[in-house]
Amino acid sequence: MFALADCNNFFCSCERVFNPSLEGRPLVVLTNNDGCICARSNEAKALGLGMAVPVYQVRDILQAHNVAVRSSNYQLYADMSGRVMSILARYAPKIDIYSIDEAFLNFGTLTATPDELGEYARGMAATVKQSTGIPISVGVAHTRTLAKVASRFAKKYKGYRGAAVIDTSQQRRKALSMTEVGDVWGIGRRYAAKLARYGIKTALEFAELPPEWVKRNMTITGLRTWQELNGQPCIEVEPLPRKKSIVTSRSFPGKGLGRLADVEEALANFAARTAWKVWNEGSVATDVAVWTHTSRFRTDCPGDTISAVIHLPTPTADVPTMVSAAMSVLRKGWKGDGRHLYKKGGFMAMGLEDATLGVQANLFDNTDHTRRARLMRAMEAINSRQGRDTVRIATQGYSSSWHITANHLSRHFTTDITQLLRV
Amino acid sequence: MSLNKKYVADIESGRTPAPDISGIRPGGFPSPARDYMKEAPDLNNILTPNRPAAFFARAANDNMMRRGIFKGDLLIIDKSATPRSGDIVLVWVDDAYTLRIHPCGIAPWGVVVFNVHYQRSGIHR
Repeated sequence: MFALADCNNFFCSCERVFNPSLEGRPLVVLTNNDGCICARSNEAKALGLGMAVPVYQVRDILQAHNVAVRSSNYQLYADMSGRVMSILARYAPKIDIYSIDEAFLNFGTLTATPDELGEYARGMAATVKQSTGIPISVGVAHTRTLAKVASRFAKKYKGYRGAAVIDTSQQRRKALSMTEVGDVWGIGRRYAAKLARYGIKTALEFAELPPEWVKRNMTITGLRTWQELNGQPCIEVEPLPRKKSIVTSRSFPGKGLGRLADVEEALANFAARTAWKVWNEGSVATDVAVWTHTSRFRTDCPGDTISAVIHLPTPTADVPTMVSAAMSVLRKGWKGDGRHLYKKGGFMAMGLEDATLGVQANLFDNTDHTRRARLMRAMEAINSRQGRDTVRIATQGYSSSWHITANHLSRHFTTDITQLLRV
Repeated sequence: MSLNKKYVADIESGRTPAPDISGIRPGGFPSPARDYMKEAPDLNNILTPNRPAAFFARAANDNMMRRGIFKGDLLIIDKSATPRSGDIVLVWVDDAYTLRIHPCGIAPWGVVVFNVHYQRSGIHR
């Protein structure tokens, strides 16, 4: 049997652990640059505040109802997620962490009745709550897809006391009849719309379709979802294959950046961050893309895009090489007439390959790659002990003109010795 | 100024080498200690055996000095521990965190299990 453990309103719950005055109140957490809503407490949902709505559209609601607002504190959320997952991992032979706030537990051949598993899951949720302050909901069933269905019931109805079990065929059919087909794991908006055209609205109606129809109209992936809804486990959560590309991209604060020095600093940092991500994956990149553009929403000032793809002479993860590439694109494309405010920029490393497989040297490339690799290892050793970017490329600079606006950021209570709770 | 080269970091391995006492250098004398080697005590295991539930806090005042906690001390809190009578607990009251002795009429956020007090003068991070 499988369980799906899902943190309730995760970002909001993290904020509440370190500030209990946020309990029971409407609370929203915002995306980068405090732009949109990315998490809502139940009280905020009740006020009609939707997911991903831009803040400027609901400012009046936020003020009228005294809704608490927080900027995304990813450092805190990542740390709290690690704590939750560590505890969950104690409860099953195999755990698959699915996202920052969800994990599948595979109980394997654990011999327990579904009722026993339900109580076991409640105990697990109680331990997570006691140890970290984060409330979770657990769904238990014979397949991962059904466990996910069950977890929605556990989250929605207090009567389940934190864990809902789908075991018998009767329970399964009842649960599926109360679940919209678009809410099933693996069935997205497109398929939900297609199924609606055939009159299929609930997960039960979908599960009762002939399998041949499902395979023909929703491919083998759709068929696997169908099989899982009918009680046959067949979906594995596989580890991600080597990434083919890695991006670092951010919007810029306020109306945007007008000075070349500021945009250079931002892009240098995006390039360095990307290079390190490539390095940490054990990959090398063959091409890089650099871009920055003005706001696509503003009609009152001139728009401009600077972008290019650069082919690297030798596949590499070298930070100085990537930063240089970014700088050359920017300097070449810079208009210099002071009329443009760039609102977003990004850097992408592409064509990623396994660094250990040996790299085809380029006859015309003068770079001493062995020496560069030693430099990377030295930087890595220093930065891992003294902090990220302790040793950095000079163009990365130290200004914060390009840093995202986060006016409502709570402290890094668990990851920064200078920002601990004061008691 | 000449460089006083006393120690060269082993950049190839990415780490500065620790003295190797496992005694497996070719041509050298094997260490008599190699069957008895044990790692030094790990403070992480001693101070925070239950890592997911271990949180740090900073004492903001001397209110608990009768229990040896002074302003600036680093507190280690176990959020999973069941409080016992006499424990120093962290509680949320009047919109702030504070330390109390259990039982105090308020459900504790966690139990203070260790206090790290810097014994030298001056501030320590």
